[in-house]
Amino acid sequence: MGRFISLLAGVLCYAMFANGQDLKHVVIVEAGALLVEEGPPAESMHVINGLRFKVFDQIAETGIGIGADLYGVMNVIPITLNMKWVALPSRSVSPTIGVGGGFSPAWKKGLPEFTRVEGGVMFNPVLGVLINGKSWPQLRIDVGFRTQRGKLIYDDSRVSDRPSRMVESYRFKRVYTGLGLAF
Amino acid sequence: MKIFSTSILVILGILLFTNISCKDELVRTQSFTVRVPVFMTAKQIRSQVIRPQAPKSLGSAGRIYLYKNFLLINEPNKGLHIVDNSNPARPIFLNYIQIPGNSDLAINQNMLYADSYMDLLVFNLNNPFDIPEPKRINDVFKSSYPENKRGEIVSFKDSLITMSSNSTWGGPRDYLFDSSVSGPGNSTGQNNYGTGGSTARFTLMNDHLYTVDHTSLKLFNVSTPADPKFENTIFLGTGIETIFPYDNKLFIGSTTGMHIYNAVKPSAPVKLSTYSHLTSCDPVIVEGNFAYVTLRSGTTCRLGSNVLEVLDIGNPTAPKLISSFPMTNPHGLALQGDLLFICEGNNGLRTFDRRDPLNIGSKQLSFLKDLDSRDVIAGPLSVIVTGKSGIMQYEFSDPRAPKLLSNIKVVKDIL
Repeated sequence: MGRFISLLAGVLCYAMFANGQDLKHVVIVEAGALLVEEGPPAESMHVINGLRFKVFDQIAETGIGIGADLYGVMNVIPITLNMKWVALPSRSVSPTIGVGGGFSPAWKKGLPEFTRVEGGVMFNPVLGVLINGKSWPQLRIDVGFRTQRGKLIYDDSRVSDRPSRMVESYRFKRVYTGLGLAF
Repeated sequence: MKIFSTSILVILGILLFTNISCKDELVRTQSFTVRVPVFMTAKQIRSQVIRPQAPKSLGSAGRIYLYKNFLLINEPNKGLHIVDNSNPARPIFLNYIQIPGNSDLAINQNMLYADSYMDLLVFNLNNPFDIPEPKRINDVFKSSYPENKRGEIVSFKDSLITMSSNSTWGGPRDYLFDSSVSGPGNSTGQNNYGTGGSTARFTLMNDHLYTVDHTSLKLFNVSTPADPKFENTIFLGTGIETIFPYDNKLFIGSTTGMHIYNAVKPSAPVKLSTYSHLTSCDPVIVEGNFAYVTLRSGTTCRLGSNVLEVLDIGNPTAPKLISSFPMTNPHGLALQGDLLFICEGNNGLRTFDRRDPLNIGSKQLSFLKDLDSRDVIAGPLSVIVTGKSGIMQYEFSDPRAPKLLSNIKVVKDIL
């Protein structure tokens, strides 16, 4: 948590003092699907609250996001730090590259055979395009790779004919495809 | 600059999506709690200092014994918790005695008898906060340990869950075991004994401590409570499980039947009869002319059925089955007035009206399904149920709507 706050503070300081000009508050709402080779996709929705600023002749964004990713065996609420780089801000269509990462608390989806669930770290690099209209909101299309860790745990230390402790450690590795609107 | 940044973007993108596999990974790890044999010599066991310790949480629930307003809870093979149960809604842990190899106990006039592997220990409980080093009677339970021939003890032992109930104590609230207050005893009533549950292997009657192991009955003269004298061993047969005293008789449950011994001469019980049944696990309790036996199937009782049997023991030399009722997986049982309590293992606790012994099965008053119950004791202040998850106390003033008073939960060990 300390590292997370330090990183966020560093990013904000950079944004505001290193080359921070024309600061603009931006709220991005994203919704999409987390695709996997085998199995149904998971729904994903995130809201990112951040700042937009110029870096040389390009645009960078940084912000804090919160969302919900609904995997088949657990739901997670990623709390993330996000950064995005807009390569050609003056064009009507610009490629972007971004990265988000953080920690996700989790809760169970049924599964009474497990006594508890633990969340884990999330990492999400993305490539995308940004479509500049004449006015806000901006439309964004992103494709990325999202990895999320989590654990389902059954705990019972009594002597019995079933395991006293069983841990299912998940590492979800999904292709993220989503649409976003920036306000 | 734009060409440069776009090139970087493309390179990063290629790097990003190289070697990506979009399959969720799952790693499943399982841990099992198992009983590992630990070999110790008698000298090593006896060298351990046994003193009361600060109270601690309940690690597992074994046998329970109720003496006056005190509840003693055995942690199988580890020790005993002493609990002030004056208020069943708020039991208070007073202290803990670490007793290696302990599985059974009984109390006679403030003297606690507890086994420690092959030895019998005698604790003076006049002040539960200042319990002196116990007196040790060596090698009275040697046959319980197969590795005894090698001069070693295997540290695991039978860990059936048992409970006991205690008598009321109307005196001022302090923590001394008031010896002036007499408890009802198991069934003999005339001595200052505590009460053991239906799955107990220790019991007291007529100044004698009776203990059973898998094959035999051992007798101790406890007329001088602080100085038990081992008297005799009587071979009973195989599969011995429980002992219950009533009206100068000993009712001994085994996997093949129930033995009745006449103990009018306490030091020399004489066998009166055996009631046989299919191989089952079967605690027994008795009141009046009826014995109530639960039979259950299970790992060690493979042929058994799951039933409650009522026997007419008006003639103890010829016990007669008068009724039988199907159960789910019955364990311990207890009586309180017209009520019969039957533990159904992890299926709950049933309560019956027992006034008509031919129709008990159709007179179920309540069925608590959300608890694990292994044995039950109907005490004067509460009905105490012990199970894998802990010890629960209920009030049965309305048998159709029992009220939970307290729940002492087992705190799981960290692996």
